[in-house]
Amino acid sequence: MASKKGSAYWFILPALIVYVVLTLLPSFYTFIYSLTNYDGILKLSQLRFVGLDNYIYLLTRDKQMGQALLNTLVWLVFQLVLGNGLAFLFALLLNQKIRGTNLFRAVIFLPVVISSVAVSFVWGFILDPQVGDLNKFLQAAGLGEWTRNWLGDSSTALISIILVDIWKSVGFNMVILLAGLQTIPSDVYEAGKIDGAGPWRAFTRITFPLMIPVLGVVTILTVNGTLRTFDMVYILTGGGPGYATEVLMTRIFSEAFTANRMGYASSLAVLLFVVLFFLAYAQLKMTEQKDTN
Amino acid sequence: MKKRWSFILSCIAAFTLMVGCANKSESPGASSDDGQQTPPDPEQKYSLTLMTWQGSGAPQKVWDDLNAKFNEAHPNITVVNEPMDSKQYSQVYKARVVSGEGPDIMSVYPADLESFVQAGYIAPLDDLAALKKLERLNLDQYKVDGKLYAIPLAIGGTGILYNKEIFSRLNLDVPRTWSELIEVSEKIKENGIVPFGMTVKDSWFTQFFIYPLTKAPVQAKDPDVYYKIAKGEMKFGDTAISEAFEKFLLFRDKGFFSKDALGINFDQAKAEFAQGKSAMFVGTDWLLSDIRAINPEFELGYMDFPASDDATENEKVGWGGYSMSLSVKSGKTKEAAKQYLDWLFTQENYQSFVNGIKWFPVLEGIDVSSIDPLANAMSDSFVGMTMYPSDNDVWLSGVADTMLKSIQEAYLNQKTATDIVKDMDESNERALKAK
Repeated sequence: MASKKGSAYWFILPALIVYVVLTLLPSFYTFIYSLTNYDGILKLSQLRFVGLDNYIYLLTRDKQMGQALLNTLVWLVFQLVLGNGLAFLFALLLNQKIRGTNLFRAVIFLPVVISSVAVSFVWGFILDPQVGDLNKFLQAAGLGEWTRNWLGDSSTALISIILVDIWKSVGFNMVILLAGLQTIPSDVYEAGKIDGAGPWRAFTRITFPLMIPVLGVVTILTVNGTLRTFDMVYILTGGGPGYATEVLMTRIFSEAFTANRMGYASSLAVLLFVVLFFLAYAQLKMTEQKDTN
Repeated sequence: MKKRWSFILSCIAAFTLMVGCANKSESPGASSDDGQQTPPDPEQKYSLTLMTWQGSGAPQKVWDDLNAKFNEAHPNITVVNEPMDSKQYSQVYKARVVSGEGPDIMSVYPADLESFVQAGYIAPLDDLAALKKLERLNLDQYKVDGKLYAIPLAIGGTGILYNKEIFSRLNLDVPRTWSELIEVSEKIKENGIVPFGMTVKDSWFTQFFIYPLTKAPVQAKDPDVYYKIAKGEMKFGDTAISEAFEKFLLFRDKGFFSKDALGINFDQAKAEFAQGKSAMFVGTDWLLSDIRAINPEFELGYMDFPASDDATENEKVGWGGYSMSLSVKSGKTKEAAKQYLDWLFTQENYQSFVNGIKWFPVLEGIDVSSIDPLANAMSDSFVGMTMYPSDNDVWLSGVADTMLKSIQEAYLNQKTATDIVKDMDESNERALKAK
């Protein structure tokens, strides 16, 4: 029996090696680089150790990073309230026993499987101020004064991208919430009906409390995904106009590859890693709890 | 079980040690490239990749034809151009080179050159036969520690392209001063046409309006000014560079740029001009082939950029310089790559290269008339003009990027011209500290 267990380790060894070489080792190097003036080009031996200078600048003086952090937080709030709110609403609606729910579910989920790069390009065309469908539609509907330079106006650019992201991801969260709803046994609702609970009380006293763990999972996934948003912003606006749509990931990219400040970008990556690590840990703990429940 | 674990862990440790050592024992770099010329072995086959920021779109075919010709002359060496969008080139090529997957022949951005040399990624080119033909040129910007690491492919100047049909229809004279340019733009605007096509969304393009405006007030006053700033001896705020930004923002205030310039990209702005919806556009040689591809019958005119109210100064001072250079990767392929460069710079091959790619020659004795109908007008305007190079060629990493972002913010009325300069100085400070 001992040898069976031992041979199991041999089987996981290849995957473990791949993980160490492709994930742990680069992460370790990133941490090392964050303590240097690495420009992305020079060799390790040619770098200068700068201690915590990068972190200090990041936390105290980088105004653009502050703007990016603010934008990311705004994005988070919208995704959590509007995005997940919509997902929950759709899940509740699709949980009803009516015809066509499979079709609706597929349609709402469809954007999730389209590559975000393709989505970004297509929406970029739709939101184009001159030839885009949105403005053309508004004009045709007699709402000409509502047309905007959606992605070129700092007051509408960020929210436009956020709405595209919600459009793309709502199906994913909906499916998870729907699965959660469907694990609630119907006799709980029947018991509630017998006690005279109307639909609103059924929701607030039965549905919502039982859905808290699932909502927790969805929340953490949303936060995790939003913190890592990059391609949509990069393709739609490049972070512009100015810094109006910059988010944490686009700043890392800019600092690392455009400004040749790879060491500095690494320090931001390390901080983000710490945040995401705790999020993943919290998610793990939550799902463990759920299992034991 | 404990034994198994420690065995596995020691395997992992050994593996990572191997990986780490492999990285270190890689090419020791510059020390092995002491410029000694050993011609490539004619028996050995070489397969070289070529990558530049002008390798896709209209120039792609030019490179492919050129490489095919080269292969006929040197059957043992194949050069393949890898097309890449110029917007992504600056980020991708660095990652490729650093990971060891870099192209054998590439164009290196001026801001990256010194680091590339220090890390040993590119080889010195001092023994190239082609250099004998370029002796009249000042190639200092491509030298590190006295050795040359890049060779310029073309020279160009920047003026303004204009739509001859619109100008003659509205009875407009070619403006020779800044005030005349404003007047002409007013008239064009009154007639419902965009006076000057521009994209601010693809902010890099604004440089082609800004840099002509910095020549007289900044570089002509002190040709070394940007070198001094890059060393920290001066600040951008000590120069008159904010004038250029003021003029750019003035054009915006008067509504002379494309509508929604912050929302349309370079391709859209270019198409707008090529389709006759804007009257003027940035005028460089590399834009000619793009525009003619969209509208072959376009009646294009070229004028010097009237940057000031001194008409003579506008003719005598301008932005020009080397447009793109080629460098060679250190290592086994460098001699074959150098052979490619020497071959390219022979009169016959170079002539067909510039004819196809429509750039202006660095070599003397090249006939420019077959480059483009406008070529003679353009090269005539370069005669007698003191040309100053791109401002950002000497700037430290990150400064140009900051400037472009701040230009977008200023376009949104969130910043002033002096704010842009302040931001550039801050970015310069950061870059100096990081050295």
